[in-house]
Amino acid sequence: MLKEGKFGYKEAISLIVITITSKVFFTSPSAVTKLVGTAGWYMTLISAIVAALMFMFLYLVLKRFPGKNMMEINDIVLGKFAGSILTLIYCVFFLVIASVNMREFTEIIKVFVLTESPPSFIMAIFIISVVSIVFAGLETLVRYAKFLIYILGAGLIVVILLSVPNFRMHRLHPLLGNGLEKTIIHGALRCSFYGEAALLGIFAASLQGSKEIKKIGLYSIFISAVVTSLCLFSFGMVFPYTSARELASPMYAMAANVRLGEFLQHMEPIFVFLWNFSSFIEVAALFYGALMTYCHVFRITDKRPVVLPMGTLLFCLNLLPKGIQDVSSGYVQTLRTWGWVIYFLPAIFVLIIALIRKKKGGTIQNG
Amino acid sequence: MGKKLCLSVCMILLMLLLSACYDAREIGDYAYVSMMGIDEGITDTLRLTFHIPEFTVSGSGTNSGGGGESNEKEKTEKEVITLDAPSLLSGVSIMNNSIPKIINFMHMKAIIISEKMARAGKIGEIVAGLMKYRQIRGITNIIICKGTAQEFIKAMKPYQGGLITETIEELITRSDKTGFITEFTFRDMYNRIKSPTTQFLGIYGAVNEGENLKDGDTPFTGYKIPGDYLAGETPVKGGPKVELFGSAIFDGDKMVGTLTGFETQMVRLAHGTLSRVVFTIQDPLSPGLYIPVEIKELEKPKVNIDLSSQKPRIKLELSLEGDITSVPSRIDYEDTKMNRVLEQTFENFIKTGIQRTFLKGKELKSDIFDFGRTAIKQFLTIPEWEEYKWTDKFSEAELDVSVDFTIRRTGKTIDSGPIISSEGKE
Repeated sequence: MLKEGKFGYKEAISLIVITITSKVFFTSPSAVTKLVGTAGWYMTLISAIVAALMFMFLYLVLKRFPGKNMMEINDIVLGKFAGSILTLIYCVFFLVIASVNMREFTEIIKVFVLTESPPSFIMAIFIISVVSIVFAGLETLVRYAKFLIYILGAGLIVVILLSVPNFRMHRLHPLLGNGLEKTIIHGALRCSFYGEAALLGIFAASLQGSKEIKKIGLYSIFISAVVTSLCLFSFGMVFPYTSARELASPMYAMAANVRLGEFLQHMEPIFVFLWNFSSFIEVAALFYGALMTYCHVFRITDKRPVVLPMGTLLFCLNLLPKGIQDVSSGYVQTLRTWGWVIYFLPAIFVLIIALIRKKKGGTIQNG
Repeated sequence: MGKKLCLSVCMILLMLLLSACYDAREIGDYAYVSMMGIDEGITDTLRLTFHIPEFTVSGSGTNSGGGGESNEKEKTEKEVITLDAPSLLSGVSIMNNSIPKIINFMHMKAIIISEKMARAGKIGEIVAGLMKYRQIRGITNIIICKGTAQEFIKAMKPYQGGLITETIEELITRSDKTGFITEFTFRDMYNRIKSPTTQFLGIYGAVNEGENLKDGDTPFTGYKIPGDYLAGETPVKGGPKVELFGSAIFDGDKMVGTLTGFETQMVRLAHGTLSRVVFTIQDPLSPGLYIPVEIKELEKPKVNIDLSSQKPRIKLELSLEGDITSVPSRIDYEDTKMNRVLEQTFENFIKTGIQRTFLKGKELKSDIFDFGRTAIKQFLTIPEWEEYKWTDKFSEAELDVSVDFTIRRTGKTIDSGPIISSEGKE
């Protein structure tokens, strides 16, 4: 039987921060440049503020039902049937996000590193790794995330520091990008970038109460916002907005641009490590979220028999997009713009219903 | 027992499946292209020239053959391959029919494009295509060559037996001490040809056969600004035939003119990318003689642009310091008052040089000094900036240059005494 176990806030923050920030290594920065031009580095801060506000609703729900996770709360507030439907929506959503992120990873790896390997081979290896860690349980996953966050942080700092000679401040001008209005609108809509903080609602039972969840959620969003903004700021200073919008992986291109003398060149392999590990944690966390929600709906106590079939499903979902264009401008952009509808809105909806129906704590008060 | 067996089988399978032995690639399986030339094709769209240097035996066992015994011409014929193809990848496919190795561009040091192609405005198509190609790195150097890229690559030889990649790399890296060429890379080119803010200045290269070094009995008199040449025109004989000197000016993706080595120095001074450089000026009090001055930046150049009127008014302030390296006239420039005379002469020399280069850029509608980088800061949004059309406005701009030069040191001597002969003091 898979045990979620209990873990501390450092582990949880590591997991959520890696899950959120890994997206900055792929097509997101280019998409942001296309939308808001040079204003991307602070647009993401707007997204983070909106996400933090949205997260507070999730916290209020969890606070109202101490010791319960979102699936249990859905059942209590909406009743078994409606609650299960909502939980199942979470499950499908997490699985779709995991598959889209994984496909994005596969496509970028195929473009830059494993050009001759078939995508299905890359996906299969990746899924084997994800399934393996999921078998080890949530506690193992978060502890692994805590171990990796230091390495990933150091790698990211190295890549940014090595790129400093390529920084040109004028590339951040005009400061308001495509206009303040657009920046605010896109910033608010793209709060989905930080949507993985909602996973805390799923993993709530493994954490030490709602107050700690609040702390974890806000810290995770804050740290992720700082890291994402720093990455966008650095990349904005390396590439002018006219060509930044075209890059498949701007952060990789930034690492590949490093030329410090005759010997310090070809630094992108450092970056490939960042890619691999962060994507692995990200997909595994989302996959675990999907697994937990699915098992809750169908009252499956032992999750292990579900892992492999769900892994197969993830593999099949990965095959749906036609190619990198389909993934980056279709799936990823839709999820980044509208993902908040599933990440955050259900919690607000559940909170309102709970208030109306006066449901509180772990008991059903009015039948 | 069954669990252990299952685990063992899995481990063995993983070992077999993940070791990637059957299609593993060793370094010797690749043919590394060090330079690629692009000319207009005759039998197809592009004439591609690849320089694939031969590896020498390193003693470690695997290698791609010797090469020390073959003579120069044979070596060049072996290493330089030219073909006509519609695109780079088609060219590589054609080449792979005669080369039993995988052509790899990961370590390519330079892309050479013929001036003819650059002037025809075909760079955009080439660059856009190459930028998508994974193996071509953004830090690859771009050289615009006089004549054909094919001849240029054939003439390029490693200096003093070193590696050709090292020769190219060092030639370009050392330019921050001479300033005769720019340091813009393939990525810079791509960024700049698409930019409404800055324009591209390519390294200009040519094959110099040594014909500019004239023989004769009449010695040269007068003054010629050192480095005021284009590649292929310098009076040099012997040594490497390939020379990089001056810059190719671009308006978008079209080459519209050239800058001499001296003009390129002026651009780099205004960019603030010269670490230390030597200029030779005319002695103000003895015009037949010259004074070499080694200078460096004291502060980064300051640029102010007034966009309130129809014509942008640009103010460039340079703050330089330097040392006198010799005074052939033996005039006492070490003296504080005389020192100022020399400082003013040098300031005027730089001002004139920058104005001359600026006028050239203006005529060609190319912001070679990157003043757009300062102008853009006065705009809040991208649509406002793009509507302003800086590249158009630049052709009407006015430049005011001020140079502040301070002589710090006067070499190993602090005073210049006269030469005493039988005819007295001179």
